[in-house]
This record gives sequence, structure tokens and C-alpha cells, in this order.
Amino acid sequence: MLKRLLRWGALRSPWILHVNTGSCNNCDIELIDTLTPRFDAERFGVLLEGPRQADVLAVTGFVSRQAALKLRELYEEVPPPKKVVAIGTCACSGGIFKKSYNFAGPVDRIIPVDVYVTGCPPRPQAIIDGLIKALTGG
Amino acid sequence: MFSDAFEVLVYPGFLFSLVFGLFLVWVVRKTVARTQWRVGPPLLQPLADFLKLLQKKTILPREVNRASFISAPLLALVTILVATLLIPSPGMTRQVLGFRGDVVVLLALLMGFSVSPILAGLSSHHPFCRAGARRETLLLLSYGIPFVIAFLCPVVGARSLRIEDAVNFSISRGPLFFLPAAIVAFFFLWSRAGLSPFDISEAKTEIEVGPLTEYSGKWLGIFRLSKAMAFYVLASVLISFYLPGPFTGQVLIDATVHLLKIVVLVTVLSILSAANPRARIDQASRFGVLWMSLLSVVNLIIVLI
Repeated sequence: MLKRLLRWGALRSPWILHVNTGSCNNCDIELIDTLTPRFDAERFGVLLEGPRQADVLAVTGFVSRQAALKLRELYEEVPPPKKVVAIGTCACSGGIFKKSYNFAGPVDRIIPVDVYVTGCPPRPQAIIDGLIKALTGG
Repeated sequence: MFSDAFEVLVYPGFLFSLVFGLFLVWVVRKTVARTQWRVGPPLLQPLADFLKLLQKKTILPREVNRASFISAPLLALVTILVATLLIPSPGMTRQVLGFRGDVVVLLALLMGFSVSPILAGLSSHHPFCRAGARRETLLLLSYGIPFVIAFLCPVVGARSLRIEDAVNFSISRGPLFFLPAAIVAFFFLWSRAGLSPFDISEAKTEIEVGPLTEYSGKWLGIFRLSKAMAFYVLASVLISFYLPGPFTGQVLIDATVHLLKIVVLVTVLSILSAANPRARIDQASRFGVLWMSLLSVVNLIIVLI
């Protein structure tokens, strides 16, 4: 009974940490859109929080060489259990930046990724879906 | 004996104030969301947040002062738990734990609770924590001191150090007599709740979570829980001290009226908060030092006359 209650709590309160590792700002706008009246991610308990408080890292953009170190640092700052959602085509595969001189890799080359949300940019509905799926696992 | 334990642990003591405090947090979030044409979180969202925080790994940063880092959330929890026993029970003038001089104890507990985020912020070297603690101190000074004066108005009027006498005095004078003091207490509640325009110390877009930046897991959960309870405690003190409602003599009806008044108060507060952007710390501080002090002193003079 208590176990089920704790599990219920863990699934219904995804606090996200937004990390931009070199995005063109397109995915960032869509991520912030999820908090607006039209999509309202707070319905599912989504809040934007700091690294120590967050459960889900929402990473947007391909990872530049400079951002790679910081991304790893931020990942270690978030207390487990934690999930990572790669938002946008660049974060998932590198996209058009794949051959760029400062391309350190898509997000999953730096830190483990749980959910990939593709699109350039992905729709807010898809982002919310990804955030929820990161917690529920399917 | 058994009924004593029930009063302390369940109603109107710990469990009730916890549940009602979490409910008030939901009322705030829902009202703010509805004001912004959003749907808002479900009813049990604050509970889910708390349960989740309990399961997270708690990180104790190496660079913090451990004693004050850990004692800050415990201070907040303990002071507010004891304060729930000292406030008048809903719909009554009686407390669970009433004694001569409880006014001083309740005031000390409320101030002890208010100091806890400052302690939390100063325990770390993180610049966000430091900035948050500094802002929190300024806010507490500019709204806490007027609140102390406002708190003492009915006490001075009743010429007694018992909360029960102060509440009875307030009932005998009617609701308009303490209106300035009620406004001061309302702003104190507002600034303690950290809702905009008084979310200066926890300014999300500037300094992360302010004094609580380094907190994670169960310590953060305890902080948020005690904040929710403090919300209920302060609102309840405000209602029973300054705006004691029509009493019918039926405890059940009176308690319901009291709680409904708290919900209305909190709803008004959240609508006002949703309509206002964050103030700068000097603006908020000046407003408090000037107007709140003025209102509370005026009310004190009225009482003394």
C-alpha cells in the first residue's frame, strides 16, 4: 500500500531542468510553450526547477565541445533517480550540425538518454509526452 | 488522555494542519493557473511532490556547513509543528496547548520559522544561496517587525499574555477594529509564502531557488512541507486574531466557517499575486518599512486609546 503510494508520487511530479547545450533556440521556445495556457504542462505536475531539485533533464540542441563538460557536470548534480530527455533532432542525432567543427556528439554520447523527442522543433504535445514517458517508462 | 493525543496528533494538531496546508498550496497553484487561463495541477499534486522528494537521493554538498544545513529544515518543521498547537482551534477561541504567556511563545515560534530559510541560505557558499538569504533577511525585517506590532495589538488591548484572552477581546470589538493590523498580517503571510511580488528571495529566473538552491531530496521536502503548514498557521492566526467570524455556538459549523474564510483569504491572495510581477527587493522593503509600520502603529494607538 505504502509502496504503491510512493510510486504514485514518483510518477506524478516531474520537475524538469532545462539545459541548452547549443540549440538554435527553436526547441527552447517550444519547451517553454509547454508551460503556456494552451498546453499547460503543470496539469501533470511539471515545474521548471534548479539542478538539485530536478528529476528530468530536458536537453535541447546538439552538444558543443564547450557545453559537453558542463552537461556532464549538470547531470551529476541532479540527484538520482533521474531521467534525461533529448529534445529535438539535433539533441537526438546531431542534425545539421553533425559535420560542424565543434560538434562533441549528440546528447547520448555524453550522458545516458532515456527518451528521444525528434522534430525540428518537436511540437509541445510531443515534448510533454516525452517528459511523462521518461517517468512512466512507456 | 486518549483525546489529548488525538488533539495533538490528528485534529486540530499535526495531521490536520499538514493536510490543510497542502490543500492551501494546491488552492494557490490552481487559482494562479486559472487566473492565467491554464488548467492547473490536480488536487493531490502537493502530496505527490512531497512523496517524490522523499524518494530522491539527498545530496549533502561537501562545501556547506553541515550543522546549519541540516538544522535549518528541522528548525522550520519543529517550530511550525509546535505552533499548530498554540493557534486557536478552528471555530474556537481555545487552543490545544494554552498557558499564560503563550503569546510570546507563538511569536517566537513564528519568527524562528521565518529565520530558517536565512539559516539555510547562509549554510552554503553558493552565490545564489547568499543572495537569497540576504533578500530573505531584508524581507523579514521589513514585514516581520510590523507584524510583531500588529500581533501585539489585541494582546495589548486584552491586557493579558494569553492568546485566548486576545481572541476574546478581538471578538468583543468586531472585525473592523483590527483592520489595519489584519492588512499587515496579510502582507506578512504573503511575504512568507513567497508568492509574487514577494518571491524575491526565491526568484526563479534570477537566483534559482534562492536560499534553497543546494537543497535536494528529503530536506527540501521537509522545507516545503513546513512552508505549507506555516501557510495554514499564519492564515489561521490572521482569521482568529483580527477577523473572527460570526459564531453560532455549534463547533462544527464554526470550524467550517473558519476554514472557508481561510480558503477565501488564500484565493484572494493568489489572485492578487498572479496579477503582480516580482518587485525589486528595495521596492518591497520600502513598502513594508513605510506602510506596514504605519498601519500597525496606527492600530496600536487605536487600541491604546
